[in-house]
Amino acid sequence: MRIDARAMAVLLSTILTTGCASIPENAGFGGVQTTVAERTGQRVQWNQDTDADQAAENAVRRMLRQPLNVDAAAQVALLNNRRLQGVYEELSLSQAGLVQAGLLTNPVFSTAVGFPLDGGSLDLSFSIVQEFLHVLYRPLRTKIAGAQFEATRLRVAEAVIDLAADVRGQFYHMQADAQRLEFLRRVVRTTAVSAEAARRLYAAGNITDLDVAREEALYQESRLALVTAQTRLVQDRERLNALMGLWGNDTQWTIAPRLPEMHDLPFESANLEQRAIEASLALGAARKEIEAATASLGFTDATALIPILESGVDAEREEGEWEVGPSLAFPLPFFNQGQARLVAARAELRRAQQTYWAQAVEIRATVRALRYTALSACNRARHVQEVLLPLYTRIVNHTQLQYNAMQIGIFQLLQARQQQINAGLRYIDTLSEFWLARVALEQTLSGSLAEVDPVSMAEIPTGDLPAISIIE
Amino acid sequence: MFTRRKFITTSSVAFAGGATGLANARDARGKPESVPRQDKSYSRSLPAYEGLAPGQPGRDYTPVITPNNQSLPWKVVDGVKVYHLIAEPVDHEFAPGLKAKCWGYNGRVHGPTIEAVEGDKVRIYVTNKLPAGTSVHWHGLLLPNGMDGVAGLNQKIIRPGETFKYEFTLVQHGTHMYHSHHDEMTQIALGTTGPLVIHPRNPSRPRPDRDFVFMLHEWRIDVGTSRPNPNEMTDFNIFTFNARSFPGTAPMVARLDDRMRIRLINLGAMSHHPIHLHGYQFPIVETDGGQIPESAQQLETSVLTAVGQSRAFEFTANEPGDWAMHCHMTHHVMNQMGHDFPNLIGMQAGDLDQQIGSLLPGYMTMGTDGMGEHGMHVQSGHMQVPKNSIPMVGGPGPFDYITMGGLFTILKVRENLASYDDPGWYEYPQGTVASLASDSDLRRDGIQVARSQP
Ligand SMILES: [Cu+2]
Repeated sequence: MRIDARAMAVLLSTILTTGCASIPENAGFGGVQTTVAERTGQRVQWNQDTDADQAAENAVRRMLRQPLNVDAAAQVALLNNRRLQGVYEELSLSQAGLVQAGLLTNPVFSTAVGFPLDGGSLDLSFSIVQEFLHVLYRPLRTKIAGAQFEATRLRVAEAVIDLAADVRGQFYHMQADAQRLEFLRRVVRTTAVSAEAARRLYAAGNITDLDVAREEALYQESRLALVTAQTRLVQDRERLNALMGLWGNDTQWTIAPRLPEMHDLPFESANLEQRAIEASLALGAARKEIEAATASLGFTDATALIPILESGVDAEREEGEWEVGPSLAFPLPFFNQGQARLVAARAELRRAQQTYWAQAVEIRATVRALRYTALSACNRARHVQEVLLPLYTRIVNHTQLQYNAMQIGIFQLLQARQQQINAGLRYIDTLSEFWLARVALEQTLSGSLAEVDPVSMAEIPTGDLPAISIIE
Repeated sequence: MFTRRKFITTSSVAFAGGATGLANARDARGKPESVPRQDKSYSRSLPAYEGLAPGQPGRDYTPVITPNNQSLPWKVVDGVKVYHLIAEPVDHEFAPGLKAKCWGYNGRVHGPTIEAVEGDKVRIYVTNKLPAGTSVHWHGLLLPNGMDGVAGLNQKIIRPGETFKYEFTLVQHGTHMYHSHHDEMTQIALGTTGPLVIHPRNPSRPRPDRDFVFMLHEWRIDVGTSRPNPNEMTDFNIFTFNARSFPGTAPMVARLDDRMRIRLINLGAMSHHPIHLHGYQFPIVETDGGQIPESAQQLETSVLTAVGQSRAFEFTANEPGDWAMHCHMTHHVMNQMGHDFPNLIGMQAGDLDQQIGSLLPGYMTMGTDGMGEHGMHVQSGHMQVPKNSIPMVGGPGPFDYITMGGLFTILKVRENLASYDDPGWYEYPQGTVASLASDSDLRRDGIQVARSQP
């Protein structure tokens, strides 16, 4: 068959233009924004040198001028953390992969010139070979890449929520440490007057060097504990600075130096696991990855025997005549029948499935554990607040009475005061445990707990710690 | 008439077989000629006492006064004096502000004084209303062994709800006591004891006008608790005359020139008490072993009474006033003294109170110049102490706060008394009270006092 050059050009252009696509803007970031907003009520912004960048920066500046609360701190981090901005680029990369999947491989054009030994006219031959199966499997490939892209989108949203949770946790850490400082200052005041009393008793000739040294040691220990706690507070602050992406003058923010009281409570266990499974972005991503692997296995299946199939058009001018005809070339599956690839792909799929399953089980356990931790911490915090602290206050009052009756001395009285302060420290421990468990639970549920039913106040036993059973 | 000397000789004969104690009794000279076996009867008399009517107050003796307590009533049945002791738990007040759940007899702590006369046949019923078994031992009495009251040894334990009968003849006179002899450590620590006074049938000395008996005791009642702790061995914190601590002790009241007898019995757990009476010298005339011959008496101002002993001393109340009588062990004139705090004497508190006050509102440094003001702080109400506790020392006196507690009481001797009710504080004749020296006094006598800088 002979064709003219025009026919050749049409053929070529047809092949070349098939599957051309453009990269969409924002690479699905809108979806991430929607997910984050729905789950946390917070805004994310992908800085791509637009006016919106400046608006986000202004919002950050505005928030930093006020004393930060936990939501504002998380919002600052979401808008200002450059590592997160880096994570958004995953979207671009994944999007690029998706586009790539839709593109055909470029056809291979080959030409051959034959020099007849007998001096006849040159033999010219052209061939355009397009990998034929590539065209054939384009929808499948797009499907795989689409699932992978979806997975990426979910993982990006997960990264956002993880960052928010990190900030919230760190925020409560810092508040707890700041509040501890308040109590440790009181401890120092107590040991200071105790040491002062010892020094005065010593000056009067009434106690030994040993006694004074002991009181002095207690005082110096408490000072060391205070300075250690101050150091922790600085560390807390710097971790928050890192998470919020702040440096220079922006690090002058303030927060309330004490944990919030427990205004909401731990959560009903009913459906909590189910909710966690449904809401989990990580699981969603894993599901998409399984979809991709499944699709990938289908692909592998089909190409198992003949993984590469090239098709093309051979054009040959023989003896001055153009001959055009289809050409077909394929490897003969004598040695590699694709078994290895098939096994590997099936293994990939099974691995993804098993991992998914394990992850779901882990999430369920985590949710139960966190719920229990939050419930227990809530219970313990209330126990400390409503039972222990009043008890230690009673102890101080009665120690004071015993002191007044001259049954005990100043040191015992101050020790009772210190015990009371220590109970205050334990309250902070349990309260921060509660807030941290709450943050972790939110993180595991990939979002806000606002829609989860709280346990009613009356159902939480007080003053009776063993009331929480480990087996429900 | 039967005399004491005769009785002793007689009783020596009667008891020599069974009671070695009697063989050692004062004046038991010579070997008894015959040694009759003890009567099988738990009760018996001596021939010398046969036919004597039960002793009557007024006629045969001047009844004792047990400050803050009283004598146990009795009746005569067929010539026998019948008493009924009921051992039972008692809510007892040691001083205003301090009550405790004790064990005593007949609603009292200690038990009421059993009074009788030498030669009396007595029958004493003992009902046990305590939650534990008990028994009663008649401390210092000469009696048949089966009446001696050592539970387990001489008799069965009196179980709760049971009533036992003790019956014997009083063959001696003097100041004695009765007390539980079962689980003594617990029961005596809780108060189960009482005085037992036997008046002489034929006194060798004139009868006293005022005859006081005091039981000395010590207790551990932790501040803020309300039960004596019998486990305490050494650190007692309440010391009592008739189970009362000053300012809870009722005074002894006497008319000028009254003939006085004061009987002291110590049945505390561990402590001896040198009881000191101000204003007088006196001989100790009796121990629980009987009278001290005049030739062996000496003048004293303090009477050391060991645990398990009694002493009686006599004097004429010929010096009017309010005279202190107290144990001379200084910790025995403290109430609920604590020992678990540093010595504060001489400490310069400075601004320490302000510093501590910011941590402990209401804090006050105390004891930097002693304990004397503690009671005043407490009683003025500006310093709260645990409920059911009394300050370490004191009560208000006519001039100032009296910084004594525990074993402290007052002998009030007055010239004109309408009754023996508490006459109030002594009114001192002009110029007989120690007072601030005036400048002219100091100048006149050449006393130089360096003025201290305020
Ligand atoms: Cu004493």
